[in-house]
Amino acid sequence: MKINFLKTLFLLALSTSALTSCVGDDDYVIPTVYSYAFNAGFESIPTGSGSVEVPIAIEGWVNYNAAGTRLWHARTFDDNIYAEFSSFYSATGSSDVAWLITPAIDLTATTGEALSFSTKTRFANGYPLTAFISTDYDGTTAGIATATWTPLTFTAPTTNDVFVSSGAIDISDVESDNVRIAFKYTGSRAGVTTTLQLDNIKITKN
Amino acid sequence: MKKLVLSTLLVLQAVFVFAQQNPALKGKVIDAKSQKPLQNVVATIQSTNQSALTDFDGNFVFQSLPAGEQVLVVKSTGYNQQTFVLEPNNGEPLDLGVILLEEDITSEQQLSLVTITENDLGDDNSGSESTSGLLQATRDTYQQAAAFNWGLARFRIRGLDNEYGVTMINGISMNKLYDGRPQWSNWGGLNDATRNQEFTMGSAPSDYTFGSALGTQEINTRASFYRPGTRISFSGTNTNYSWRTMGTHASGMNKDGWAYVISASRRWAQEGYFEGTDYGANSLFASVEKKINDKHSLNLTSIYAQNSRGKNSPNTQEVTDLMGVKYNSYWGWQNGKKRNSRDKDVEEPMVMLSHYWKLSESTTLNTNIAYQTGRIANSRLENPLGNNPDPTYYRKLPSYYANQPDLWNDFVYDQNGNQLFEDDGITPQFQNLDAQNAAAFFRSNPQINWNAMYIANQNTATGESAYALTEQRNDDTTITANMLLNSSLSNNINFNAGVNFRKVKSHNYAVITDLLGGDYFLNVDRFFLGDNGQFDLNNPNQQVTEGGTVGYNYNLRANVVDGFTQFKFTYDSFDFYLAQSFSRTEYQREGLYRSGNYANNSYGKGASEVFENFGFKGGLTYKLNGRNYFDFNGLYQTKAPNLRNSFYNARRSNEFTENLTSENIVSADASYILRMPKFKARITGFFSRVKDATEIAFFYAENVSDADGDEDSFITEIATGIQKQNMGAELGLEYQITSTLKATAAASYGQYIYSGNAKLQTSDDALAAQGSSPLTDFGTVYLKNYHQPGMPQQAYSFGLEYRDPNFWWIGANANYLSNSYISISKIMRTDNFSIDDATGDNYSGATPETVRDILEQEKFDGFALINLTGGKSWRISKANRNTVGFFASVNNVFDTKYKTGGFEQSRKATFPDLQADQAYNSPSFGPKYFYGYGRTFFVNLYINF
Repeated sequence: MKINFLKTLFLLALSTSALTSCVGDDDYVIPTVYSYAFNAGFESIPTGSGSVEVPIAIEGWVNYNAAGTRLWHARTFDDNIYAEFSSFYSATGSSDVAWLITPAIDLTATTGEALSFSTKTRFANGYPLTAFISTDYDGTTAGIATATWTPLTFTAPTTNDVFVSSGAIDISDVESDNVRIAFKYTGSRAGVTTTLQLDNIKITKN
Repeated sequence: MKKLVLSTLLVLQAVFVFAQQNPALKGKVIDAKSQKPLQNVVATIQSTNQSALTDFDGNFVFQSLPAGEQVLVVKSTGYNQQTFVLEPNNGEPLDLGVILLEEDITSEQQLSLVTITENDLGDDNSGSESTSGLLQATRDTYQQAAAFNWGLARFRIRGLDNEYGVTMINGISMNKLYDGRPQWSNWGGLNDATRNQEFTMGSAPSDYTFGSALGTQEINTRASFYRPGTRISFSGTNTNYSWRTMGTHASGMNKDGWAYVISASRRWAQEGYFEGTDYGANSLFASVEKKINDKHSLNLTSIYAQNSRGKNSPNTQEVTDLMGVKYNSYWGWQNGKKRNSRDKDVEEPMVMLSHYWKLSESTTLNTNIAYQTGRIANSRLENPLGNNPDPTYYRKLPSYYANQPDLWNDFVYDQNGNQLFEDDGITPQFQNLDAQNAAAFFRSNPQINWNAMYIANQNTATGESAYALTEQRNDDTTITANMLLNSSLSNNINFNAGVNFRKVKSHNYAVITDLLGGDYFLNVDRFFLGDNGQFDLNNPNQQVTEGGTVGYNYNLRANVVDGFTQFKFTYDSFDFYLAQSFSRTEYQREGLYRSGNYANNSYGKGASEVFENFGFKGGLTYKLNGRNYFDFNGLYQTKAPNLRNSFYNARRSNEFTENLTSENIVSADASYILRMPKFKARITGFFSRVKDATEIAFFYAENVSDADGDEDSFITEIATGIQKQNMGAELGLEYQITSTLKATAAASYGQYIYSGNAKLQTSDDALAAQGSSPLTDFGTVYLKNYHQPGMPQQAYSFGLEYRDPNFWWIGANANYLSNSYISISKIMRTDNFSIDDATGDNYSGATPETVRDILEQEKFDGFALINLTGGKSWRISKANRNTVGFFASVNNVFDTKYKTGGFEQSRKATFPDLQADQAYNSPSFGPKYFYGYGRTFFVNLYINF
């Protein structure tokens, strides 16, 4: 009789689990699809062509040349808009330290963040781009020099004319509401003049 | 407990002693038609399972009766059972007098059950097939509905594959080690000869095996167990065959102790239900028993069943829309005949020697030795130098053109030459002449063109066949020996034990059966160059003629030892049982070819792996009284992986699947059973979970591993750690409204899902050709909460049956089946689908919503099936039991078209590719579907003498 009682208990447990573990037609899981803490593809901003350069001016972004006068500008190719800089058209004898800095990004509410962006070179004669991350930049042009910039390691293209992904850069240990990603082009009319194109700056999160 | 057992034992014996002179219950059973006494009829008192057999004069006797109202059941194979309610009057003996048993003409239905086979999925030709198996009818209302009414729609009891059941002949398992499923064709067409069957449901105890979660089926071919007589029948139907003849004779035991049974049948069709599906099957059966003395009997059974049938193709919606559901792309005209390129031939005769030894009144030992050898052949066209001969090859179909927007370039004009516009009045209407031409061409050339292949073969420069017909062979030789012990340790305790040895050699290879007018077949894989392209490096560039081996050639060897013990305890108010099993399985591959891409691990014997497994089960039946029962069963076991899943690339290499483990199975069920004289009911709740299952599939894929863009590669997909959960309830009701009218109802409500995610790898020979590992890890395959495919997860049936005392009957039943799902592509459920390798980021347009939407599992429409059955039998003379009769049925009276299954194609394995393929609502690689039979009939005429 005791066994029967136990079995009845077992049956009850079984039917309870049956009722609670029913699966609807829409309950299936799907493969990973990232959502973004930050996503900039430079879509729908004014672009220039030829010798006409339209500098990137997006709310919150900082576009500044610490050595020369020309700025990161938007261009389009094959229906895709991207940011570009090249020292090739800078004045003879000048040099460029062109910064393109994202708006402040809040990563305090998310986990597992990874940064990626794509770059493409043309007419390469040296790689001009470095990328940084900061949590103490104040958003002013003067503040660029005083902020703490941590360099990022990323994959650069080895051949011209193809966009290459930086690879996923783990920034999950950065916890701040003032995260800035900076891209710095360093070149000169007489030195590195590589055309550098930048696109699809993304921070994926869990 | 022990004391209780012993004392009960003693008390009972005392009762026996006292009761001997005055039996508590007796009766005499005779045949209602012939008025002759019936021997070996079983009379059972339901509450105690006490039973008695009738003697030569039809008499049965119970020496004692439990107190209180009792239910007595009198039954025998082929007769309607009789139920009596007894009210013993305090020790006064009861005499039931003469009991008339009427022949059960509905048992004709069982002998007419057509086994439904499902086509092999994908590019792999497995040895056996999934069927609605174990769906042989018993007296259980639910199982009858499952077998007769739902079986045609691929219903599976508890949603479990046949590999979780055990089908035996004389206690010897017929489940193939290759895929765990029985090869039903091995005794197909021998319905008469295999009618002595015992079933168990779920994990309930069997005397012959430990079993698994689905149940067991034991076919007994002992010659003396057959009812003596001769039976000849002739049937016509329009299912997978058209005609069947069958003859069976059973001698009964003669004075010298000899008994024999012989049976033969032939089934054939020029064309079955689907186009181009020819059918031919011949079966022979013989069983001879010699009773040596009261203790020993020997029985020899031999079964030869040969079966050849043309398969039918699963088709995409596009093809079905153009050609209809009966369309089959596998055949083509040759010399005025329909020739099918995908035949399946099965010929695996077996012989079994059985020894029955009655060690004592209470103990029997049954020893069996079986030998089975033969072949399974699946034919297939190869096209090493020619275009794909498949008329439904995607480049030949309209969708191929419809999916190229630049081809939509011709304006549409009306009869007056005015250009037509879309509804908006602005956008001109375009037409795609290439797609229209393709549709027209396909409609006029929908079949395989054998003639063109012969011409192509005659025009090759060297005489090499551009096309050739091959057979993929699976030649198994199996030796099995087993011993089964059955002993009544006391009136309350029954003990079973069994031990099995099985040794299998499975020779797998492809053979050239028809060079189609060419001179030879070059044994080289054209996908690769140089040494990599050699199927057999030991015999490079071999020119093979008809009968020669090509492609792959290897042996799989398996040795299995298993055993079980089981104790069954029977008491007045409850029964219970406990059983345990152990098995040791050893697998090894031996390559007979040295494969170009796997030169170092393909030839000769590979390593062997051993899997040791065990199982426990137990259950309890609580008998509230003679009418109300509660039944509980629970099982835990581990199970060796099947041979087919143990070697991920068996055609090429000796290597085992990585992370290969035994499956882990838990199952439980609980039932309430009501047995009233007029009303019978059973309701059962069931649950089972399988963990660590492995599944291997083959297909062409794009954008998988090394293949970029439209370059496709032939891929093996290895999924490990699969979890399945089956849960539901089943119900069977039977009500005898009047003595002639009976109503039955049955329902199965289930939810069969993948209960967790699994791991996925692919193997690609192209990687091996580059000298790297062929394996690519795809990480998690997101399967959780998808439904297991290919069977209705809900089924309902209601039936009425009128049985006239003048030996005719008619029945009708209505069924509704629903919640059947498509087989999903696993590789499409990995991160490879949504994440672009190049960027490490989502593919453009892939959002949780779009990905969820495109990966939704197709659920097939529910459908209703109405079936009619009827029969009549006549006695030829009053002097004997000779009868003639017929049985007829019409299934799916309203010719409902329904899908029985289908599968997603894996070729477009990334989000943008799949989206692009679906962009114009005419995918080139849409799912392929199988369809059920429309209206079918079955008529059987028989004579028993």
